[in-house]
Amino acid sequence: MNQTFNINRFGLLLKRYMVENRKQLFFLFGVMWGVMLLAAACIGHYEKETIERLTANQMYNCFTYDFYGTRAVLYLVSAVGFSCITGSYMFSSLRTKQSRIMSLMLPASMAEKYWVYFTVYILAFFPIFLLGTVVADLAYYVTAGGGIIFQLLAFHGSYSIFQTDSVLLWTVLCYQAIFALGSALWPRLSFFKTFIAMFVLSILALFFPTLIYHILKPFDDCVAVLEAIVVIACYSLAWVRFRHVQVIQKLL
Amino acid sequence: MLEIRSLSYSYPKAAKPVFFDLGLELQSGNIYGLLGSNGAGKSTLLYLMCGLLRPQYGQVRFNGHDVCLRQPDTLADIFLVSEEFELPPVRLDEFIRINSQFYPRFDRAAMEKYLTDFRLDTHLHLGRLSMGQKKKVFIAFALACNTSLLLMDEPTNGLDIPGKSEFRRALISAMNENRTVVISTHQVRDLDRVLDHVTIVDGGRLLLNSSISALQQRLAFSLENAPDPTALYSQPTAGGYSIVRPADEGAEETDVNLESLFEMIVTQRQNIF
Repeated sequence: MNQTFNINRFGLLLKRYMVENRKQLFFLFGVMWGVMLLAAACIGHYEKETIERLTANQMYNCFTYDFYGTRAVLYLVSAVGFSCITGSYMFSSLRTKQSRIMSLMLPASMAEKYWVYFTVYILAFFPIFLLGTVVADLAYYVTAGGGIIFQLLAFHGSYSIFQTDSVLLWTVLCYQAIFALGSALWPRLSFFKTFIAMFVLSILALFFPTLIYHILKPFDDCVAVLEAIVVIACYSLAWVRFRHVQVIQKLL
Repeated sequence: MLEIRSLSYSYPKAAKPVFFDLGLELQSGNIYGLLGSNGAGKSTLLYLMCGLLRPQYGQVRFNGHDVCLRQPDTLADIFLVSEEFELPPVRLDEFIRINSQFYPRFDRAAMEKYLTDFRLDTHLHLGRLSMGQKKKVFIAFALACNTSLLLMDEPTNGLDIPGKSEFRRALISAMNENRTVVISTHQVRDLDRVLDHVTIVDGGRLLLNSSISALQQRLAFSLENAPDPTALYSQPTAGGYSIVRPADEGAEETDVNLESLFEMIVTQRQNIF
């Protein structure tokens, strides 16, 4: 049997991970859906109340207003926020010495284990998030008593993910990758530690504006390329870090 | 089976190495008792044996494979029962169904037998078990996996009195000529009847690596009323003096008193062989 990557073993490992961590996964993605659903319902309720108070003239002007804009902001914030949170869970099975031993002793290759974590916390995030927007839109529809829904998944229109500028997608992927790397470096309290590290780095960057300008200048017209480089670098570093994980606490 | 060659290992930033130029060979069909003082590196040696730690120098080879490579086929033939472990909050039968698939020689019937011996059944929820019950489940699973190398770190810690005797019975019944078991323990009285090899490490060195039968041929252990200054070891203990002497030729073999043996080896640091 292939010692580097075997698809059957990967499938078994993925199934095992999902079964054994289902509570954590339900909680994580449940909170994401819950927040989006609640916020969309509140937006729907607020918009309905607002429209009921409008005069005919104001109502006319309102039709020129893009009603999907508020929810688009909600989905953008949710996408960035929850992708960071799920990214920071990527190496959560290395959090304690006990769970690290159980994980490292499991008869599967490091590549299979890495791809299981990547699939569960990084790849699965996107379809679950998009389904969350559908649920949230439905909640909006119910509370608003009608309205424009499913714009994110529509094939046309300015909010469609199929039309959206790729910079937006790469920004989400970029933040997610940084938090996944943080999870490899600090499996415990990963989200907070990565957040603090990013904050400190941002403050430090303020002291070297010229240097930052020269680094970013070549990417002026192609920010997505820079973000793609960051994404690839983060996951590569996370892989290197994961491959060298040992049981001892001091290295983590 | 398992070969350790010129192994040196130290923890990061530690002043002294845990092991220096350690060599050891473990043969199939034996139950090894790994003894040592607190901090002597017993658990570290177990982690090195299964590739959870990488030595700075030297090599650990299991059936000819470097364990540090952590290849799936190698890992499928090694099971580590660590002192502290974490079981997922799922039903036991679910845990068995999912995890047994990684171990090609897993024996479902044996698992059920061990669970029955430990007075547990497969419909339990692992999240609702006490630490001792979880340990029984984990030990039963480890034995049922039928791996060639089974490493156990303080397996009797946390087990109740019947649990300890059930553990001894299960361990003996799970043994075969292709299997090696290494048990790191301080609780020598729990296991002195099952061990057939004793390995003592201390101060980064291997102080003793001998079979119980070889020890019985060379040493005589007794409990006497008075100390014997001419003996290899003579120390007061509950009920008298524990004495260790060279065995007389033709004399009847005595049971090895592991506590006295350990004390003698570690305190006097003499190589009796």
